[in-house]
Amino acid sequence: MSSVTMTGEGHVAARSPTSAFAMAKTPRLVVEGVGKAYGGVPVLKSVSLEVRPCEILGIAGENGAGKSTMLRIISGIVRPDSGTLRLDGNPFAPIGYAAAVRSGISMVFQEQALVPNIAVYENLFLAHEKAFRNRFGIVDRNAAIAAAARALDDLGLGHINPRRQLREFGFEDRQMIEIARAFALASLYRIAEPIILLDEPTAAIAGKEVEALFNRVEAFRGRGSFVLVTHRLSEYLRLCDRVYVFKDGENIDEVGRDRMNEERLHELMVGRVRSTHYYKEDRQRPVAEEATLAVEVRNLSGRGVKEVSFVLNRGEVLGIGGLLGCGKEDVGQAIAGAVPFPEGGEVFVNGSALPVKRRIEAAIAAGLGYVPRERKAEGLVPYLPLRWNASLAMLTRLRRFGLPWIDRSSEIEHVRKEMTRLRIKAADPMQLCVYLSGGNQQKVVLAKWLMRSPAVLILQNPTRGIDVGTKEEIYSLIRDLSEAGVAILLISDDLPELIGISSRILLMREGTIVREYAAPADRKPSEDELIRHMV
Amino acid sequence: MTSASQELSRRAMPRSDLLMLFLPLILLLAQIVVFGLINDRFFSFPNALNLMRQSAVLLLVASGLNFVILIGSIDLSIGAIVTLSAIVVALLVRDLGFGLWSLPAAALVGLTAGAVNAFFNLIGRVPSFLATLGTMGIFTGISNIIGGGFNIHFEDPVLGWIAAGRLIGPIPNVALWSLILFGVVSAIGARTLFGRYLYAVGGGETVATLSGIRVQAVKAGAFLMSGLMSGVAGFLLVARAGTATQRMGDSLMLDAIAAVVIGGTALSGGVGGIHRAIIGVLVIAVMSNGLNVIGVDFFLQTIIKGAIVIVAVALTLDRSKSEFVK
Repeated sequence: MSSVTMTGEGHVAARSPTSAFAMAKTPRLVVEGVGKAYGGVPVLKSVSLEVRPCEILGIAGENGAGKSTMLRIISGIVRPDSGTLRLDGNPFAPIGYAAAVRSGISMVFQEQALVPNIAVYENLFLAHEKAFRNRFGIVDRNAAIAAAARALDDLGLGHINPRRQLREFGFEDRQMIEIARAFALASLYRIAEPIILLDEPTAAIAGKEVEALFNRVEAFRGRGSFVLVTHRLSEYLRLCDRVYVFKDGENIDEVGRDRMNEERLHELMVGRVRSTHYYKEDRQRPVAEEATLAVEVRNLSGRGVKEVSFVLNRGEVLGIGGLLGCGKEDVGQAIAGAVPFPEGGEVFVNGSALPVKRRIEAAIAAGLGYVPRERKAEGLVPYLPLRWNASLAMLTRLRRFGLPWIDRSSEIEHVRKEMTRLRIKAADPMQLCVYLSGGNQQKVVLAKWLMRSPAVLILQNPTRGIDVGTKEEIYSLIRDLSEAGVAILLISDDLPELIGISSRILLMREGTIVREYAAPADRKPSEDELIRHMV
Repeated sequence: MTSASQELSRRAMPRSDLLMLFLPLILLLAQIVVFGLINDRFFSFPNALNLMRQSAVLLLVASGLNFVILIGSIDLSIGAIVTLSAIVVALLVRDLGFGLWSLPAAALVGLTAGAVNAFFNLIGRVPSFLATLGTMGIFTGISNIIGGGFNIHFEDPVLGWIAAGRLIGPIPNVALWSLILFGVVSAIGARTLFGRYLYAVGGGETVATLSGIRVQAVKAGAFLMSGLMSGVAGFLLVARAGTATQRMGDSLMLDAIAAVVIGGTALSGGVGGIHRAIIGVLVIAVMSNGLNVIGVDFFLQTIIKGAIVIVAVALTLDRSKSEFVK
């Protein structure tokens, strides 16, 4: 971490003597009174902010507060309904993202904006091929490939061959390529001091890649500005010089580094003080001596795992952690039967051995619920109403007279009860799930399984991309379920969450379990300890 | 609850969604008004009855097709199934004196055809567009072989009554059976587990699988329904015509697809409903009927129909819900 002293407003002079903009002390980007509404519903209400030279600026806020929309306006993807933007003193109204890139603003998108069936270098410079034209107007591929290789190397991604097709790389590599693109485009246009927007760049990566990204961002500090949006409050503390807090479409506060801590940010974002026991450790049940077995896994082998064996007891929260490729997701998939999964070995849920063929149906029948990693692609059907998504797994129990006729009033009643219990915020239960916030969507996925009163619940990254308020509610829910005797398997990339929630933690690396930790409420292992065994 | 409604209001259903819902109806009304103004014979009672007769068969085929389109697939063989079923019925009635027993035979033909489609698509893993394109040819070929290429004429009073008789008031029977069947499949689509699973499989197959739904069974069911409805439609069609010809059902394929889409069921699946077929069918039937009444040249009719279908689909297709509008 660079040791630059923060002096509030006038910090720029202390930072980079070579920055021309820094010397001038004028802000790079000024946003004034910007408003945006979708379908008559205001997402941003007269927001003003500024991005200063050579700083890392954070924008914090709950889901739906308007942060992503603000980034989209700055990067030219979306036009504001009202208000103005000024870049380096001149009016700035880019028509489209490419125009913004040429003016020096590029963005790392939360959901990768990459095309799988073309090469990495083509992805990096997509829509900007003109910059590589030689005097005959033909694109000089070799120059593009070389530029791509340089950009990748800079970010510690030398192992990625820019000529290969994007789809040959795994999710985390693709995320890093997404990040590299912003930097590559900035160098391409020789923008002396680019402004790079980071929209939840670490939502899907962990460990080494996060470190690499942060190092890069900090190294760039003297040469440009960053605007960071993330759900992990610790990242604001780690990187940002200032943080704006957005709430309900308004910029309600600016927090300087000296006043910044997680509690304060949480409080501003949510409007209430963060409870001291965020992970509700005080409600954690101790691992019982004679616990009843809920899940048993023996010698699980195959895709991504090697001889994995463990047990999960009733009322216990077992966490599995590990870096990319360690196989923890495959373990979850194997127990649930979510194709493709490692097929070797045996899996028992509530005493029943699960077959390989049609395992998911057997698992569900045995009392298992599976909350997958990608809620929009695997958890719920976005263009179906909330009620239908919630009842999807238990329609067979809503039959009338034993015939396959849906008992509507029963369905309505069950869903209503679950919505109340989980505090799902939706005025109309027939609203399409695509219009719900990420947090509410995840609650719907949970509701789907909870309606079946499962004995075992597998959660894959359950709080990914969700605001802190809803996260807290989910942690409470996990404690409620534990108390009721539900066995929970938590597979998560969020280490603090894993440590805080689990009563026992398994660490995996390269397909095997390398360590097991007891994590009683009063003696939790530290993050560092875990990371040491994960890498 | 104010903050809840605030949070929710920012994600309220856009007005354009409501518009999509009513556009087919508006289109229908507009057509009726225009045709009626040009020639008021359009509004006459006999013409209304005519309209019912003309749209009955299409309604059956379109409702059946809706099952397949809801799951995100397509069935191009529906026209060929109608023809095959019609020819089988005609032969059974003319040569074997089957009478009303030809109806279950038609249903069986339809179910078998649907099963063949399901087999190629689910077990052969051939995309439905190609599989049904192929079976369209196969079923047409079978029709040609068993029919010998000739028209097959028959006379059967029971079938005659089924098509042209009047059970309830002035409503032509063919329209009555069609509406009853439409009511039944609409109920299946809207109120049964199978119906609900169609939406889930079409809107998110992975989600459906991970929720414990037997996706293959649902898809097979959709193809079977489509085949069945086309088979029954063939029966009604030939009962009404009294003669089975080689290409009887061909035009129904395009009309049915257009009817389904105009009615609001997206080709990408997961959106719409079986009951929506009736709106699309009415739009198409009114268009044909109206153009006839005002005396438009037949070939000009096909041009106008094609243009209106494109416009109607362009307006009613909710692109935000389709991930691929290629």
